[in-house]
Amino acid sequence: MAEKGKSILDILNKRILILDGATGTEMQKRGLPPGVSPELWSMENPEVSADIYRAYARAGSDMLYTCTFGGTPWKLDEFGAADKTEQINCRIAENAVKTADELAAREGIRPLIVGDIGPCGRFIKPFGDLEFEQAIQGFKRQVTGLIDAGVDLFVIETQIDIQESRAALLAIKELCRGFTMVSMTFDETGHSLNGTTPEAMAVTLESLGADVVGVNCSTGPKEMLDVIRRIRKMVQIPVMAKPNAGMPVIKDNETVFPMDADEFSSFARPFAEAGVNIMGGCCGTNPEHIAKLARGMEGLSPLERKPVETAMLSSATQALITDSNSPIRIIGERINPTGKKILQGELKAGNMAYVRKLARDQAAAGADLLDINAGMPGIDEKQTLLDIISSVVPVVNLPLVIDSSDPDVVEAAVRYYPGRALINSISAEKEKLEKLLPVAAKYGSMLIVLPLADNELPDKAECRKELVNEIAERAAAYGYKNKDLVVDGLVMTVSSNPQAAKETLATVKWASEQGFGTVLGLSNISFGLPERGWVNASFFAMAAGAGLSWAIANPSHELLMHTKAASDVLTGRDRDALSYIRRFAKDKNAEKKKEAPAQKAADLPVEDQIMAAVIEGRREDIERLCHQALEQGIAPSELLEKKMIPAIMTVGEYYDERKYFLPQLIASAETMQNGFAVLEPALHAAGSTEKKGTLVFATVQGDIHDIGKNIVVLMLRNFGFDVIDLGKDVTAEDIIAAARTHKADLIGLSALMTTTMVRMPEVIALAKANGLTCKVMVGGAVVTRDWAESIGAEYSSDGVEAVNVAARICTENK
Amino acid sequence: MQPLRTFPYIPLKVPRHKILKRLGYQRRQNEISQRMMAEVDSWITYAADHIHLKATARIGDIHIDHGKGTVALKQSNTVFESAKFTRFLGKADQLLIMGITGGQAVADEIKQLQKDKRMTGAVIVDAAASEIVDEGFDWLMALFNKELVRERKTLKLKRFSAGYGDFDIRFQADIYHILKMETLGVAITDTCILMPEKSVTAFCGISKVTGE
Repeated sequence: MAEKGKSILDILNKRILILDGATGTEMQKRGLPPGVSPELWSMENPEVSADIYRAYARAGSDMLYTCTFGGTPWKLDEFGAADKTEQINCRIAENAVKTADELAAREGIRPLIVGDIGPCGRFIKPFGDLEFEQAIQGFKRQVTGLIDAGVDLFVIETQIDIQESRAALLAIKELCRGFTMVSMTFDETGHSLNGTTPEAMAVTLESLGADVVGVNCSTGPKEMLDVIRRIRKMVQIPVMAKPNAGMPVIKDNETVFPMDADEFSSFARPFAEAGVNIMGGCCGTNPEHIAKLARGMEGLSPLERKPVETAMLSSATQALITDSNSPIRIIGERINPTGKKILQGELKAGNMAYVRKLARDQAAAGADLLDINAGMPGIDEKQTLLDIISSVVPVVNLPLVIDSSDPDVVEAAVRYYPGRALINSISAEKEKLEKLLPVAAKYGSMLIVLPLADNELPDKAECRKELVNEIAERAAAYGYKNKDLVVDGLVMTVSSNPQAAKETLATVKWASEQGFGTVLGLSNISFGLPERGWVNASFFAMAAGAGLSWAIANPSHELLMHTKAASDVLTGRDRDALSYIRRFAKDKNAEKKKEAPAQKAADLPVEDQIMAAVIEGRREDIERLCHQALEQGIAPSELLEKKMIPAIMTVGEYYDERKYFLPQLIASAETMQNGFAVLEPALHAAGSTEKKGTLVFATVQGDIHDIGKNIVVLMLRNFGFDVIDLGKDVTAEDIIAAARTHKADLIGLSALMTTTMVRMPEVIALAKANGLTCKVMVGGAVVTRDWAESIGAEYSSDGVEAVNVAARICTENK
Repeated sequence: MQPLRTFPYIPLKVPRHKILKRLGYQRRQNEISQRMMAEVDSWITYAADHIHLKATARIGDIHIDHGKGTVALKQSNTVFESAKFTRFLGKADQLLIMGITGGQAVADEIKQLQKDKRMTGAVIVDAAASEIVDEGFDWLMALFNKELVRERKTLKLKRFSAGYGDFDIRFQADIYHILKMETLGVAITDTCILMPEKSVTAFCGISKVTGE
């Protein structure tokens, strides 16, 4: 198969190859009944499939997909045929190979037969529940059948999950050296359903050994063009496209694919110019589309493929490109338990929430990648590192740096990680080098190169260079180029060796001139010195000047990140200083916004500070301020009546005017509540706790939604009403009993569902039957003003209106 | 009815703008300090941290009687009565039925925050959870649409739920059983409320691509 792959590449250097069009719809036209497995039907009707293969071959397809799109064991299981996965795939593919051979003999055309692998219908960890290894094993069963049939190459197509693409690709690569094309599907926003960008897909799959990458389905050719251009920029391998004939639209009351063969084929030249090497059609296309596309491609040559000279990493969703013009990349160092007691405890307990928080915090602080390390005693390092990957990958878009000294742990991690990882690290230590290089090469990982050898920690740059060259030479045998290797300049402590910084900087300078990436673990330089931040920041700036491209650091360290921003400007890596200006413009605005109100408030008398705290919803300040006011001898009733209630009324007005939105209203109400709790004992003592009225509130029977009611209750209490809150799912009898006991001025009822709002008139009827004269106010998501009127109730749409309604009713009562 | 499909992990998408809109935020009119907005954002993140979106879904053939205002699910005894629903489905011949939950943890957090009198947090987490669950539906629909296009079918991009208009919420019980939502850890009350909160069901119509 390796030979076949080479010859396919030779052809691809000369011309653009044509794929087939839609198969499923062609089968439907030829009698495939609805609800039947196309694979089983194809196997039972080989002549029908052969007819489709022939139609496409005669239309000009150079490659024909076998009718095995749903041939994974999981898909076949839906039709009770999973146990025959190998045989089914083999029989279908044999029919395709036989048809191609017959065409060659009779008509002189021999299309290549492509073993087609579609999505398995399940999501794979860390994005689903199917174990990654189980997925690989399942795909191997399908691949085995296709190999047995003698297919010429493979396609993994219509993928939405990068991890599934990886599993299928590994399955092929671990069984044979078959030429493999992988195409994912991207929507019009340029993302897969799971958020993968074309760039991330290209980097991940090329590094894992795909021979062609590309796109199929989901959009028409117009929308796909840009995706093809984006992929083409990232890869050295050929690029494929298989667009739909547009997306279905309703036309004259019929749902149709809008693009006819002429319009579809008009995209041949734009696709060729975008750099496509292989093109066909997906949903809505037929042999006519392919025939016209083939004619459109006649005379068009593939673009020359130039080597990609940048370092590329990827997460499951995004690619990170780094070259000498890129800003220095910060590798967040905080997910490493060494010397971190909290993280150690959480990892031991198997609790990943803290790890996710560290990942998010570092991403927010400006990290470009995250180093992950689980090396500590008392835990299973391999499993913990896999758990960290599972936890971090869904919450941040950054590529990961796999940090372990154990090659087995590294292998497990890079195999599972759904992107192109950077391994930290490889050295000239013989055993490690021999074990790690093939692993890194198999999974396409980039490598941090540590200039260390067995029993040798060189302190001179010259010795380090020799070791780096030795490792690079060995790595080159596995296909590594200097751009894929990141040389660690080896940071030693300057307090114990005054030449340490100089030797490290010399190593960085030399390595960057050789086209390697360079990285430093900065903080070691200042070990043993006071005020280490200054030393670290200065060293960072000097290293930036020497050509540093990556730094392992804590991105929350402000001085360091500011120094990085300045260094990027001074070394020409931040064009027009845009990032630098943005960074400080942002910080300046933040400071202004943060400081202004607090500063303003601090100058005011304490009672006005209380008012400001309520208006601004500063819950953290209110208790201290209230205590302070009481200590100053200010009467609690005065604070409440003259400051806090006017403040909360102002907030209500702001809310009505839409100057404030709901969280601000609630934050102010909470602030008031907390302040009131401080004042309440003093108010009681002074006998000034008269309430504006007594209200009984409940969510009606059968309804368990009470957040809206709780907001209303909070607001009412703040305005001085005595609210008896009966909670949720309360019977009419209990509501009426409480209203009677507390001599309520008003009953408040809440309901969220149409099934439960019917309880409201029941409560009103029961109140009347019991001789209660108090009014009833209703509210809730499904309750309308008209409905309230129809049952003889008052209505309020929110907490502010509820306060007004309650105030009016209680005043009337008095 | 096609076999039930279970989606135990749906990727979370946090639609910040929709969450803010749900809370009443209007960029041009609201005056909000950076401190307050940072708090809102941190509660949104908190909500996302406690949500585990999972779903079940299945496709069924339907017979729509526009005259009677009914939608019958073939190969079952279920007939939904709602003129509005029949109008919504138009010429659809299949129905995608979806049930999704944000999980117990986020519902517990909303309760606990209220209990702890941290209503600001409760309100934001509640709104965020609702919108994140809604995004889960969008994800499911996009997935089904991709698969259906290959069968020359297309999914109507709007959805409908029990409780809308004249579609009685009591049909929620039928939907619950069709979707086996108990397998997601979801229960249903006598009043047809799905528990935990932030568990919802929805329908979409599926039409055949009829032309070339």
